[in-house]
Amino acid sequence: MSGNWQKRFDDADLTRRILDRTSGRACDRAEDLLGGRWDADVEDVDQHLLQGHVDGCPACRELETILDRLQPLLPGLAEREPGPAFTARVLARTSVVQPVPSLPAAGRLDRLARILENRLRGAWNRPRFALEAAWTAAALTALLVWSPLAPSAAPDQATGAVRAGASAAPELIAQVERLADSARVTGREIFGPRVDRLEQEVAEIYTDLAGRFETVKQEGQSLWQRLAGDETQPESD
Amino acid sequence: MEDRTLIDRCRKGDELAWEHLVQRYQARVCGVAYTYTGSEEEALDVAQEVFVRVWKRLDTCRDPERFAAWLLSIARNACLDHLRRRKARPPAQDLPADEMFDLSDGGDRPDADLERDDQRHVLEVALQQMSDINREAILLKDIQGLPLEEMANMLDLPLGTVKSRCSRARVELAKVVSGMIGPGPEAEAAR
Repeated sequence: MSGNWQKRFDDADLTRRILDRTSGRACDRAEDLLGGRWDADVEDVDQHLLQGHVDGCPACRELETILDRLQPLLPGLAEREPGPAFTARVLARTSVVQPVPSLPAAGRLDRLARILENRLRGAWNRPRFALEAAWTAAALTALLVWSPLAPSAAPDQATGAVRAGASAAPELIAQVERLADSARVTGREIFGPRVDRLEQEVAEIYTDLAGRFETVKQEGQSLWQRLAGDETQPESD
Repeated sequence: MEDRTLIDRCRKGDELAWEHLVQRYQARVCGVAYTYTGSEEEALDVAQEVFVRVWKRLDTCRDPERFAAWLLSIARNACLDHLRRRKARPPAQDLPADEMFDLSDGGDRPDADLERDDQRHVLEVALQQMSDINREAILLKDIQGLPLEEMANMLDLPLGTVKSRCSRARVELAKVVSGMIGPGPEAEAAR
């Protein structure tokens, strides 16, 4: 008989019913402590009280079991192998990005190369570059042809010079290419591994320049044809 | 080789040192990016972006001894930027019941690797079902092992707030996992 009474007094269900009518269930507080155990700040008293609650609360006991099983597994998610091509892709992207600016140990030559590289790239990439180049060319032509300093036969001489210049352009380009090849060989000796990147950027600049040159050439030809047309028309007066 | 040595060499333009540094940390950065994005493809893109940022800002890493924490901070910002751009998160993937690993069965399956993969998969799916704030707390503290103080610095929060956030996050993760695998027999009987 007394055993039955004792059993009824120890019943966790009775505790729950009393808590429901007083402070409410202690599961929220127990959850806080259960989740915080890995930060090693649960005091002994709290640990004791928590254990008493968990012993009588199946839901919190299950939570404790799952937490204990999950915690050692989580560091296993720290890394995720990205595959063999990842490093190569990152290196490809970082090799064309402007490198770290402050290089105290770098040599003067290296720094000079970097400054020139950035300045040149900046100049060629400016959107107004083609327009400015066209204006400069037009101003030079005007000086050659119509300047008071020009000799009496200036128009003919100037147009001849311009025509000769245009016909010499392919030869000039070939000369530039030969110089570039020579510079590449010398540059490789001086700059070592940086040459590959410089070569790539020079190639891009060259492609860009060729496009701009073609545009300027077409505009020049159009202007030339108009000027030639004006010259052949009889004066109205 | 220590991080400090590698970083010094990277600053001098040593591409081999940079390659080594990338190889050393790429899996970790991909792990972080995957936890934030929940997508392998997006994680790879974000991880590349992280290393490009690191390369550009390497001279701003004042304390190479704490490179890992600095890298994590950059990775976190890159992931948040990515999520802001993406705006809406994709729906969490449903895991077929027969593919779920029962965490309560004591792990007696013969193939240990398969078991580990299953556990990993359950955890990854569960993490994607958590709130963003709690998922980040689990990622930084329990997955990447960041000290609480470091975490408080990174998140710009008081230490106490970070502690309680970690505690709540663990409970949320446990409840999500419990919801995925179903309640244990004892808890079921108590309901």
